[in-house]
Amino acid sequence: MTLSETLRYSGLVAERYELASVAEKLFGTKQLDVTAGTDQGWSGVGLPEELGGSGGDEADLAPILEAAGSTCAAAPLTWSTGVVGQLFSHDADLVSAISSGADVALPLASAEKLAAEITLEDGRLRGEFLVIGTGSHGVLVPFESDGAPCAAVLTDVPVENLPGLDQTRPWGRVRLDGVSTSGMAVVSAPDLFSRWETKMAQAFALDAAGAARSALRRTIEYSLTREQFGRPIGSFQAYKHRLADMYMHLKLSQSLAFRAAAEAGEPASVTRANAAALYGTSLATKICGEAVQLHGGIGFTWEAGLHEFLKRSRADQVIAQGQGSARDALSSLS
Amino acid sequence: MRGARHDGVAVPQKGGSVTGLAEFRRDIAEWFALNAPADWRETVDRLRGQEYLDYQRQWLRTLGERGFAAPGIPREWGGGGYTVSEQVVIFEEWSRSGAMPLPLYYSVSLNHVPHTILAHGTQEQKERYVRDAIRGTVWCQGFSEPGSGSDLASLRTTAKRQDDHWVIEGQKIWSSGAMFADHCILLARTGSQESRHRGITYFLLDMRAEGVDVRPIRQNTGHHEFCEIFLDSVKLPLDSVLGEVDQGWSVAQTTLETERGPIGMSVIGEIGAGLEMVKKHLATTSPSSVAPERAELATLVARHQAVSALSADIVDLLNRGAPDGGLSSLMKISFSELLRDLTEFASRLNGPSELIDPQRPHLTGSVTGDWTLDWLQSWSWTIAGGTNEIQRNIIAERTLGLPREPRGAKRGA
Repeated sequence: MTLSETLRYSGLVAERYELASVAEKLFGTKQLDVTAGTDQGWSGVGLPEELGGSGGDEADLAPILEAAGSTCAAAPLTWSTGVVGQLFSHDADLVSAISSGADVALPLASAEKLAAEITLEDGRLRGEFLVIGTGSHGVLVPFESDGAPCAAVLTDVPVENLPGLDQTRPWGRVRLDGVSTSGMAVVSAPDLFSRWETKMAQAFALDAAGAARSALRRTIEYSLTREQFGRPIGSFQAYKHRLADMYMHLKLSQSLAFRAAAEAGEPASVTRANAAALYGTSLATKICGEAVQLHGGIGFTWEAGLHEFLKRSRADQVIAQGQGSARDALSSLS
Repeated sequence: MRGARHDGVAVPQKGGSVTGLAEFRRDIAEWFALNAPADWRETVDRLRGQEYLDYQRQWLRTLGERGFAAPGIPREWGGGGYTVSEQVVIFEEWSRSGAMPLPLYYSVSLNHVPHTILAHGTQEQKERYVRDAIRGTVWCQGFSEPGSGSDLASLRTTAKRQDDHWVIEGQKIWSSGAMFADHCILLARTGSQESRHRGITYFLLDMRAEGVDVRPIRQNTGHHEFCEIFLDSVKLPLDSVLGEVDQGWSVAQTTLETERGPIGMSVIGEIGAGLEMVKKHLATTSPSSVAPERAELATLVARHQAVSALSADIVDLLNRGAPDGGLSSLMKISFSELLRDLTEFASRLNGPSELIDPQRPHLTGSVTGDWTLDWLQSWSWTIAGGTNEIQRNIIAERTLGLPREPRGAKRGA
C-alpha cells in the first residue's frame, strides 16, 4: 500500500474509494471554486434522485465530505448537502437547488440552544447568530412554535460576511428583525433538533477527519526528507512515536465519522455521531496541532499552510460539539 | 443515481446481512442468559487451585456444546466454525451477559494453540492436541525470557539434538497459567547464538517432563497469574517440533497474529459493560453534584465508541481478506489505554474506599468492578503481547514506512 492509501479510511470499498479519489482530485485542483463539481452532480450525492438529487445515501456522501476537508475545499457541501439537504430531503425545490451547488447558510450554534434564543411572535422571527456559508440561497434557522421544534430556510435574509480565522470557508452573521416565516420552507418534528445536531456532527466530523489526514500525510513526508544530526528526523524514536499516535488518532476519528454516516438512521448512530463530534473532532484538531509542532519552525509559518488544517479542524470541532450538546448526550445517565 | 455524468459517481451496493446477524445476536444473548452460572463470582471466591481450574473447565465444556469455547476454529477440530462477524457477536454477548471469562484458557489454549497447530502441525500433531485443547487441557506460552522481552529474537534458551531427542536448557518468563499447564508452546534456539530469528525452533513441550520447574511470579495486584519456567536438561522427542527446525520464527508469527483477531474484542465488550456499571453508580447521586464526573464519563463513552468502530472496521477487513494496515496494533494500544483510564476513573469514584484491598483470590476478568484491582491489572494489557511502545515502532516502521531504528549496535561502538 502507498502512504496515501494507508492513510485513507480502511472501510472504503472499491467504488467509494474511487469516489473519494475523484472528489479529492476535483476539490484539490479547484480549491477556491465553490461550484467545483456541481455540474457533475457532486453536491447532490445523498439526496433523492427523483427530487433532483444524485441519489445514494449518507454513506456515499461521506467520502466526498471527507475529501472536502482533506483539500480544504470552499464548496458548501458540508453544510448545504450534509445538513440542510438531509433535513429537507422531501423538498424538491431545495433538493434541486442544493444539488446545483446552492449555499444555504447554517448556524454555528447547537440547534436546540439557538432555538431557545430565537423568538417567534405573530409569525415573525427575531434573533441574531453566526453562520457558515454565504447564504446566497437562504439561511437555515431553528425556532420553536407552540413548543414544537421547527426549522425554516429563510431566503430573503442578508448574511453579513465576516472574516473567519478559517479562511477556507465563508463565515457570517445573520440578524432576524421580525422576519416572516410565511411562504418559507419549514419542517417540524419532535426529534428535529436531535436529527439536526446528528447531521451536523456527522458532516463536520468527516471534514475534520479529512483535514487531519492531509496534515498527517504532509508531516510523514516531511519527516522522510528533513535531516538533522545526519539522519531523517523520521528515524528518531521520539518522533516516530508521535507519528504513530497521530496515525492511531486519525484511524479512530475516521472510524467514528464514517461509521456514524454509514449507520445513519439506526438507533446506535446517534451515539456514534455524538462520539464523532466530541472525540473524533478533538483528535483531528490534535493531529493538526501535532503537524505544526513536528514541522518545527516552518510549521509555524503562514507560508507552510499547516495553519489551514489546524483552523479548519478547530472550526469543525467547535461546530460539531454544539457547546456541550454532544458531551451531555454521551453522559446521559438514563 | 445520475452517475452517468461522471465515471466516479456510482453508488456502491449495500453489503452484508445486518438482519441475520441481529437474529444471531439475540440467540447468543438468550443462550448466555440461560446457560451461564449466575453465582460464579461468589463461587470462585471460595475455590482454590485445582478446584478453580475444574470450575473453569466445567464452564468451558458448557460453552463447547455450542462451539463457543473456540468459535473461530473449524467444527471438525472441536471449534464452532463461526465467521469473524459471528465470533465478534459471541465475544461481545459473552462480556455483556456478565458470564464468567476463562482467564486460564484464554488466549493460549483456546486461541493460540489451535490456530498455530492447525496452520503448521502434522496431521498427527493436530489429532493429538487440537480437540483436547478446546476441551480443556491447559497450555502456556514460553516465548519471553529474562533477557529477551521486546527483542524476542535474541532469546537464549537452547535446544540441542542428541540421537533421537532434543535437550532443552534455559529459562522462560511471563508464562500465564504455567502452574496449571499440561503443555507449553516453546521457542528455543537451534542455531548459533548470533543467528537471531533464523535459528529458532518452535516446540510443543510436555510440562510434566523431567527438568521442568515452574515458579509463580507475584504481580502488582498480589496475584500469581504468570510464572517463570526453568528448563534443566529437559528431553523432548523429535516429533515435538512444530513446523521445521530453524523455522520457528515464522510459526511464532502465526501465534502472535492470532492475538489480534476477534479475541481482543472481548476486552472492548468488558469496557462497555464497565461503562454501564459506572453510569448506574453515578445515577444514584444528583446530576449537578457529579457534573465534572459526567464530563469525564462522556469522553470515556466516546472513546469506547471509537475503539468499537475501529474493531468493526478490522472485522470488515478480515472478512474481505484485506491487509490490516496496522489497525490491530492501533486497536491494542487504544483499548488498553482506555481500559487504564476507565478503571482509574471508576476507582476514583469510590473515594477513600478504593484504598482497601478487596482481597479477591482470583482475577476473573479485565473489568470485575473491583476497580482498583482492575486498574492495577490494566498494565498487563499495555505491556503484554508486545508493549504499546513496540506497537508504536511497528506502526511507524511497517505501516508508515519510516526509517528503522539502528539495530544490533554494540554499546560504545
